[in-house]
Amino acid sequence: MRTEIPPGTLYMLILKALARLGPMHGYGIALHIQQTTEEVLQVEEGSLYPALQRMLLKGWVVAEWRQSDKRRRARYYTLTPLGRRQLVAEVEAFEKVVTAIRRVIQPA
Amino acid sequence: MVKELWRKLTALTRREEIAGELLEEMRAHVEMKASDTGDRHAAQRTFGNTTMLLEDSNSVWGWPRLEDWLRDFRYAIRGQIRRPAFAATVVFTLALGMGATSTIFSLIDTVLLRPLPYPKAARLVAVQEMKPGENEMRTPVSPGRLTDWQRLNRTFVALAGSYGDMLTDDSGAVPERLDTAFVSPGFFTVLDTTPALGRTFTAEEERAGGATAVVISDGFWKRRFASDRGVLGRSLRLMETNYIIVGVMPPSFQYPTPATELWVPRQAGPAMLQMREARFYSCVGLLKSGVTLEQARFDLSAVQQRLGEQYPTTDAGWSIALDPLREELVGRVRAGLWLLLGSVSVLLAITCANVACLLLARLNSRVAEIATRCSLGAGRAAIGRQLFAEGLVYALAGGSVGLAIALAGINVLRTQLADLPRITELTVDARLLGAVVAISVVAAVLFSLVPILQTFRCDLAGLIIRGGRGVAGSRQRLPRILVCGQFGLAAALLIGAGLFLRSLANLEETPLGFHYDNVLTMRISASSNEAPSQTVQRQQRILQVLAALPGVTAVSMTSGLPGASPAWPREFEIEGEASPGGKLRFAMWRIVTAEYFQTVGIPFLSGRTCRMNSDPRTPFETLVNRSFADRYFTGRDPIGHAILKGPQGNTPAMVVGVVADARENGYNVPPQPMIYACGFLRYWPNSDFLIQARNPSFLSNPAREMIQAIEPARAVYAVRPLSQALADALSQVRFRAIVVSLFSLLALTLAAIGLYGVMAYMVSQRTREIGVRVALGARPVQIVGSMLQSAGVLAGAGIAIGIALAAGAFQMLGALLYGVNSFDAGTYLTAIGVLLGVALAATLIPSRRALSIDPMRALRES
Repeated sequence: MRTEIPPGTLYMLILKALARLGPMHGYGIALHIQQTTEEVLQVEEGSLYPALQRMLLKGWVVAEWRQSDKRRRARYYTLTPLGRRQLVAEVEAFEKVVTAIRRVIQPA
Repeated sequence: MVKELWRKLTALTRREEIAGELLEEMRAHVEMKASDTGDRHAAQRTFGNTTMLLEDSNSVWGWPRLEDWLRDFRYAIRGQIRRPAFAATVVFTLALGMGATSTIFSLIDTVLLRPLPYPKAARLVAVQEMKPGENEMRTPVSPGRLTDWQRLNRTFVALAGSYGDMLTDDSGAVPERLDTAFVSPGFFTVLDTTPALGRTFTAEEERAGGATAVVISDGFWKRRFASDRGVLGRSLRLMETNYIIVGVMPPSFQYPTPATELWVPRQAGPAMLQMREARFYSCVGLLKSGVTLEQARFDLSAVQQRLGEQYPTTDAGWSIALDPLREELVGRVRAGLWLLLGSVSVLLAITCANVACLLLARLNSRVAEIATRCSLGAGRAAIGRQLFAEGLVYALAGGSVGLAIALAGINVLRTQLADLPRITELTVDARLLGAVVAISVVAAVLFSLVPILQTFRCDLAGLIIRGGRGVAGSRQRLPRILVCGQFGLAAALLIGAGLFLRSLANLEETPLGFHYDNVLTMRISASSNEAPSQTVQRQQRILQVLAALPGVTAVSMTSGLPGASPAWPREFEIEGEASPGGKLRFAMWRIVTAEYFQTVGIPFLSGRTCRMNSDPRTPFETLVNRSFADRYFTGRDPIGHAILKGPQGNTPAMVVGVVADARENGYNVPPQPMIYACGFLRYWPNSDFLIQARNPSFLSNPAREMIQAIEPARAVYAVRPLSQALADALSQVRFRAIVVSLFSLLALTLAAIGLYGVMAYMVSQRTREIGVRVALGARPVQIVGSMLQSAGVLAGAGIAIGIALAAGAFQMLGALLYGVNSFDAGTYLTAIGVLLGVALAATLIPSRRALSIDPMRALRES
């Protein structure tokens, strides 16, 4: 089954992907999210780009054009220290929410 | 946050680049996927809507709200450029209204509202003496009384006096006449102003026989010493004594007059301090903190009451008059200034009404556009924003042109109203700018509000169906009311202008009783330490030299220019005659030389002119005017009688002739009983020389050179034709008449534009109706007649309102009128005639268009 990603978690997913992979282009990020979630989470690929622009504006990532493996030019995004801190904060917030939800649906 | 804003700002310059990169990046994404999966279409499909995503991504770097506004502004400006005539009308109309209003507002603010530029201005009061028996006749203060008030009062920090004089300084290359204020001790304590440089006077410099010191004005410092900070310790040579410059006042210090260049302590000796009947000090006092005007008045009145008991002969019955200093300085111009503000406010109201009218008419032609935008999904906010942006563009454009007008206006006012108190404080300041901006924004809100309200009231869908006709409703109530109001206000202004112009004409046509066309006037500096006999010799010598100039027919000297400098009332007695009821008798006195009457052409009725005697101790001979003879010598011949209490005190002065009445005290003062005493003006500092010649303006340079040759140490100044002096005396009356006329002309133009706009719009709305009527055989006269009728109702109602307004307003301004009643029928009728004429013209042009309507086309189009 394929599911739309929960609202508000797109930034976290992108940040996490970049933290794992190191510098990566948009297509790579989309692929990574789909593969690691075993295609459960379906990212609408195009929607990565407005999100990436906002992250550039906020200074969480920086972008740079490079040659990709297939001798094609692609834009690679790299986490900044600010982005790393943001990732930690987002993950913490997310876990709080998940823990809370789990408590509600799994009564002890 | 700051970094984010900075990134956004730096992105501004490379928005296109960012968009290009995004597009490339997205394409690369799709291609990579396509080559991975081998299905290009699927790759594109799963990627999403590229255009929307691009827009979404780009908007991250944008300023959406701001961009909306900018877009609306761009539309507004483009719209204005597309209709240059309409835009120019609106902008120019607004500019006139705002420019005129902010100019007059600045003037009133400066002169009437702003505190005087002294640190404790609110506590400064002017004190005068009030004459027994004569209501409201106020005089300056005598030194004796000033000293007593100073000693006995409990409510003042200090009281001080000053009087103006002209002193000659001959320490420079050319001797110069300087406007000087002699001040009593404590003068600078009262005004409490710190000098810009140096200090004010010490007690030693204020005491009789003490060191001589002078404080100079900022203007004099700049003019004469080129702002040299080393000026302290240098000296001026006044009255043949060296005066050390000890201080320079700041430019804001302009008391007693803006022209004052020197302040010199009046080192009064004991004799002067006891003078109780010579009143010459303009007195100013600083109230103790917390003391009210009433308390001070009560306190000082009590003091004067006691003095009356102590000095019954000199002080009994005299009382005091106490006013805030600002009131004393500007009180006399208050009515005139409020008149200006009233007129200009009316003008602004007309302007706003007119612009609202114009915009409404324009809105009607745009209903279709707005309806279309609404139906395409534009919200009310979006339409309101667009209309507001339009209003703001008009108002700001109008405001900037208006500001230029205001700046020019201020310069005009400064030169035209040079004799208005505090006028030198009038400058272009931030407050004026603020006022213009504030008026612009308020105007923008008002202008856009009317169309916005109108748009929102109507049902847009219905509008499209009806083909976008008539937002303002078929009966057009609002524009009609606005035009009606404009006519009313224009009528009021026009009537006012008529009244002031007639006053001016009356004044200018008043027979003065003397000739001024061929007379040149000038002053020559005197010195106070000259022996009387020397003075007389000098004056005689000057008169001889002037008389010898080519073309000169008569030369004389007088204590005041006829018609331009008022003679002062002074007590007199007729020798051997007790005045009826023992009352004091007063007449105007003027001291002249024998040829005075010939110089200014005052005819003799009987007797002869006086003989001049160069020995100052011989008694003066006098002449009286007809009013004097009629009043005090009814049926008798005054010649041969002697008058007492003249300039020589109790020495009898024989009357040797009677002359015709002349308006010696100015255009608006009827001739009063007058005594001319013939003598040389020994103590008169400002004696005027009068030279009669066929062509007096060519004489000024030869006369100046001649006097410089025989009197190298004296300054020749105030050289001007007598006609010029008289014109100057009328300058305020003339200015008032011109300004109100100008305003009424503007108002009339605006009202005409307004009426024209409404009528033109009516024609466009009634195209179909007129077409039908013409097709049914209506004659041109009937069509025009119906147009004239509609216009006539508007104009007529407006004029009626205006007359009521004028009658109410000008009743209060009777004091500013001369020789014309504030209900003058001629003026009212002329104004009504002019207004109806203008209304007719504003109607006929659209009517002609109505006649040219082709019935077939009119019917087909709708």
